[in-house]
Amino acid sequence: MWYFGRVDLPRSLLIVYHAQIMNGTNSEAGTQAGKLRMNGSDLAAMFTAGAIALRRNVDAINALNVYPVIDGDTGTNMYLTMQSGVDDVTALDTPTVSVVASAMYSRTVKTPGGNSGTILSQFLKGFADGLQGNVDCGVEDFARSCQLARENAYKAVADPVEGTMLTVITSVAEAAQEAADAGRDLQLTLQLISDRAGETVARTTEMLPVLQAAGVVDSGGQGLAVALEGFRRSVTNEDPDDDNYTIQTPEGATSAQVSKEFLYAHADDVYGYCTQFLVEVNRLDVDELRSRVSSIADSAVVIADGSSASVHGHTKDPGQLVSLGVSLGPMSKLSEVKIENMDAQHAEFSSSQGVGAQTEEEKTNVGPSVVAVAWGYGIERVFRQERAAQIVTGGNTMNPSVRDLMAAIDRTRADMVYLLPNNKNILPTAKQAAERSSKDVCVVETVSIPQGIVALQHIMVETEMDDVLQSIEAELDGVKSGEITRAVRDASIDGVVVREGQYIGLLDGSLVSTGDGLQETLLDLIGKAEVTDYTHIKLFYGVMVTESDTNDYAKVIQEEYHPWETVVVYGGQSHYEFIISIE
Amino acid sequence: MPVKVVTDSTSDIPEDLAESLGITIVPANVIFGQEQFRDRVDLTTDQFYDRLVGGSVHPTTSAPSVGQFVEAFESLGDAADGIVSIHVSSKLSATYNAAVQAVGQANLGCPVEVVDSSQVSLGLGMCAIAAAKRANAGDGLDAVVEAAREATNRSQCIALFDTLEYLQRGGRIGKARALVGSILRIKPMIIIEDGEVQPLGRARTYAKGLAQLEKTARAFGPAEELGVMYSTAEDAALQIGEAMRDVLPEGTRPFIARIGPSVGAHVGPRAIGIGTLRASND
Repeated sequence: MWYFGRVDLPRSLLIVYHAQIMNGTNSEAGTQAGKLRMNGSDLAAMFTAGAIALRRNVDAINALNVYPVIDGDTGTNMYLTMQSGVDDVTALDTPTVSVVASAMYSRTVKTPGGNSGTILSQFLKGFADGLQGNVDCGVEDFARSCQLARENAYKAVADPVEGTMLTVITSVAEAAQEAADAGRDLQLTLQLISDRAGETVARTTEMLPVLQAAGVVDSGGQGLAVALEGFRRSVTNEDPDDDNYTIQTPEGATSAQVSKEFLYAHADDVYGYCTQFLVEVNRLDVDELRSRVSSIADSAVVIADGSSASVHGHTKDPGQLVSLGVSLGPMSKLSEVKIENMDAQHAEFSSSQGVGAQTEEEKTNVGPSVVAVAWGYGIERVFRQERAAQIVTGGNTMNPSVRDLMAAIDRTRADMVYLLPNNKNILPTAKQAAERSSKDVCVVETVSIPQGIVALQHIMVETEMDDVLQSIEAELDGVKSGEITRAVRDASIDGVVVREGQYIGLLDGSLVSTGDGLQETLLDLIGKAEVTDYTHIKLFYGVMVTESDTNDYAKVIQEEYHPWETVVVYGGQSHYEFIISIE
Repeated sequence: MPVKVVTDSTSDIPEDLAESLGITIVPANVIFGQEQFRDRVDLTTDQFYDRLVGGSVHPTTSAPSVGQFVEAFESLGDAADGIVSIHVSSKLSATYNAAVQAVGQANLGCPVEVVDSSQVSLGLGMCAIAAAKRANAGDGLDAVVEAAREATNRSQCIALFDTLEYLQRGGRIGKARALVGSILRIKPMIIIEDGEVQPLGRARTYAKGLAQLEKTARAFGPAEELGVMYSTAEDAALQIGEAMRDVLPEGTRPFIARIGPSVGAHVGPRAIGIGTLRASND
């Protein structure tokens, strides 16, 4: 199990220690032994101590974060959520427990604190509900609040999973009830709650397979246990900001941080965006909203708060979730919108744990690194998977500066860097960056995303650097790059008259197809690319096209032209319906 | 009386070739849900791939039973001076163990030697073919066993897959796991080494993969035997077979083999491979 400051006690001794406390015979029981009720200031102090405890342990909690997303932000989220409530509560003048708990909840529910922060706010809602109208509170009130906290937390999560913070909340509610039934004072109650939370946290590893694989306990559960230990310290007047006050590796976990093997194994996992907002609507059916959110997002948490709802979900397409929020009613208003790229967080977290593109690079020690210019969420992901060390966002509409490129070159660990501009317009900038860089930079003159990917794959296969450029040129000869976009105005391009809004198909930069329909234009373009039985076609679909439509187009391409295969890949680019690689 | 050679159906030796060399093939089993079939006895290869690609149930495979081997050894034993039973790598299948157990249980008319080829598909097939040729030349049991063992050091098996999905589902992926998970459907290439599936490389397209497969096979040097095996892409196999003629002695040509159900369940459609028996140095 886990505990604070008492790490030297073997477990068997601790049980004795614990039993003594429960029998009220321990002489170390503190200055407030026997105290049965707390007032508003005590409750505010308790929450404050919880926030301090979280603050001291942010990094340790972050280091455990693998579920539901390996992004290392649980500690940060829980601390920021708790602290936002404490900021409001400490400003109150001679409050009642009811006022403190309500203020705590109404602030934290509006703080976009990710999955764990949102569940923490529901835990706090239990106190707001349980202490409603109370001037002060006793152990019975405390137990009732914990029970309500449990109900709220489970209800808010669309798909509750055990071995997480929810399991810890359940054990806390049970411990509080046991203490109330046994007529314990506040101090012993908090002691029991804190210990029970710690024991439950230690068991999460065996309850949830992903935690077992990573060799850690649940981060959200650990965060809650940390906050509860802060609560306990406030009722015994111990200093929550004490230097010894950092969590130790729990017994159930093999490590205080996620194993490197686990991070390597999950390096390519794709999560998308953590999307959160508050939405205010006239008529709110929160259960229906929750089921709609969970149909388009993972880790859906939806909470009603009067006429507004707090929505949290993990999705590859945050726009879809935001659109759902806006379309809830004619008067629906969104606020506190927060969208975080979890894949970037995941990559950052992995690299902070010594696992990432650069470490992989170091480990294999193959020499040169690759810096690629790319745009579109899915396309960037492909470049990352193919081991580009650095990706600079840019493309047709936004050209990166020389400085952007030089900074990316500097961030790689290698002295020899291949730079893939992947666009004709970026070529001059890339050459300038190569000239000015203190590193040995070789610009591979790729003018399209398909060319960039082929070049990247080739660089990663070849080891003889001298021959690389020459052989990449030969490889690029076998690749055709297609693009489908829409004409933004009437024009005559390459001698072809195009009307505004029509689809146009470009093959290696030349306009070869136009059409009013997307499918006809796509098929016409591919027909012009000399497809053989062994041709491999990749369709990178942009944000304006759906995956299922793209799958349908791929099927038609297969039937019409019989290439070896047509692979559908999410590109996520704007402006271009499709970027097509014909190899 | 001659020495007889027995192998199992994962050797993928074409039926006519096995017949002409007098090799007995004990079928492994393929299971779709509740239905069990003996490889190429109860289920043809075409029927199998139709179900593999079109059906919703993913097949599993199981080694021939001890009883199947007992039956094979007993029926051959009366007309043989000895039996060499050569099988798929014991790291990939329980077949070798089943054959060893059968030796203990059968009512044998002659001695039986069981050999672990550390190979599969035509990699195994090559060892059985080499042993059968010696047996047909009139060699005694010890010499044929020695020929089989020696061939395991000279046989190679490499393959190009359209996808690693089937190998992964069947749990035989081994170290080739490193090749899994490409968004771009990169074509993985594998080699059988130390009795296991090992990664050989990746190709951007199937066409590139075929070229690399050929290049790798050439790097093994002159061959005594060479076969090209395929699951569903016959044209590609014929093409490679034609291109690889020059690594064989004048006047001989590679044979084309179909990857049967028991291996096909793990490699999936459009897999293609080369099995060779490198020419011996002496």
